[in-house]
Amino acid sequence: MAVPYTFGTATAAIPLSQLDSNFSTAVTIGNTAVQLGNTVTSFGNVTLTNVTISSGNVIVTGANVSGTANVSTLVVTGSETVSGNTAVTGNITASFFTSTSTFGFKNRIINGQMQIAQRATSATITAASTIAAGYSTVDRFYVYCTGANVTAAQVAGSGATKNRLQITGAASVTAVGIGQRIEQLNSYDLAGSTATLSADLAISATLTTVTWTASYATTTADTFGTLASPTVTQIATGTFTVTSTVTNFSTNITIPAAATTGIQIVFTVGALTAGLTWTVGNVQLEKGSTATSFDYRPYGTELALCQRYYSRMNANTGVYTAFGSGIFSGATGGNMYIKFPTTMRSSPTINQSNCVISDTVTSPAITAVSTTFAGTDSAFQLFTVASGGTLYRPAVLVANNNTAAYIDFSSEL
Amino acid sequence: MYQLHPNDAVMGEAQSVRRLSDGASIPFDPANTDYQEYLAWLAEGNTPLPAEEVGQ
Repeated sequence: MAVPYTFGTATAAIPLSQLDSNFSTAVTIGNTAVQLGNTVTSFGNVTLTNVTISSGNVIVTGANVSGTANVSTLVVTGSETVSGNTAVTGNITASFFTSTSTFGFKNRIINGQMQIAQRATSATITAASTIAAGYSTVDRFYVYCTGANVTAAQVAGSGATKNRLQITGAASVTAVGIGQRIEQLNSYDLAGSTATLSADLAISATLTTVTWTASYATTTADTFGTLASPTVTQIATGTFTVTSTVTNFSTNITIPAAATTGIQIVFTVGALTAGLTWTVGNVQLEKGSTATSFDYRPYGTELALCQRYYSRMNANTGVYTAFGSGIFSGATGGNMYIKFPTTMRSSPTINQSNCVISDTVTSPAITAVSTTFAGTDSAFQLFTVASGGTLYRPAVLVANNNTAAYIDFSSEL
Repeated sequence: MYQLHPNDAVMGEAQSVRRLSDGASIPFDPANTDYQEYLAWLAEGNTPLPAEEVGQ
């Protein structure tokens, strides 16, 4: 082995006996500065202690750590940029994290997993109906169609995804849409940034194109208009080419600075005719240009998020479950105080099924509901009955010996 | 189709309208989208049914 530079600046004699012919034994260089010439291009099996790189760049090309790399203490005092992917199997401890896509609660879509279905797990969607009527199965998503009615149903998912929304087509259907309107308060910060929309999509056969469209409320916050007369400004639109296998698709959306009034995301397909099914799940809209993993949130948390827009108090197993209390305002009606499960987006539309108002002497069935005073946390509601009430007698709003009884509140967008 | 609600003997003037398709009570809140749809329906020249006569 050639020795590149042979101690030409040594200040004392170095006995050659201390060196063997090829440095096959360990060599110790004393506690002094050592400079290696440029002709030295590689080292093998080197152990370094207390290495300081004071300037210049360190370039590592094609370094593979196949075994275990132990870094007992790694301190990065400046900025460290890793442009590729980094996999860490252990724990990371840090005083602060920043991320363009954030970690938890990154999904601006509520109930993107289609797990919450307070209204029903299956419903018929009437062609050319209203958005209000389209809120009929999984929470926060409205479904609409043209040409003929379709069926929307919460179905089982696969893998980590518990549920998806599935639309079953019918003869003469010309188009189907699934949309969600994101409240201004939950999308304001997206304005002027890049967002990423992702979703699991599949169509059983024939159709291969799912069109996505992002819009924002044009003038008034959270006012998107009707299906017939939308009051939105389109942000962007595009298509996904889907198959019969559920696949996750994603796209970047440049949200304009003007989009501070609420955002609407709509997926549409064409003629979903008889025998075809369209499956949608894990819908996510997140800040940043990267589609990250789906934001699985606790069920109770997701339910509470949904209840801001729609909530239903069910009798469940209690056939006389109470929903509110108040007084009879006469023989044919009673005013009931009702507390909503959570603060709602607006004064809600209120309805009931299979309820009575009862003073424990008489329990006349409700024939109509009207709002006397309603806020976003509670309502004082007039329930009309055919007869049987006694003016000023205390009464309660209860299920009419029926586990299917409910009272619901809607302030959907 | 919609129907006006009767006034209440105790609480006074009705603050909502009834949606006949499902019987829901829609409050007169401009932020309520059902109310917005009702206003759009009125703007098309439609008229709600009058309130039912209610005895007390």
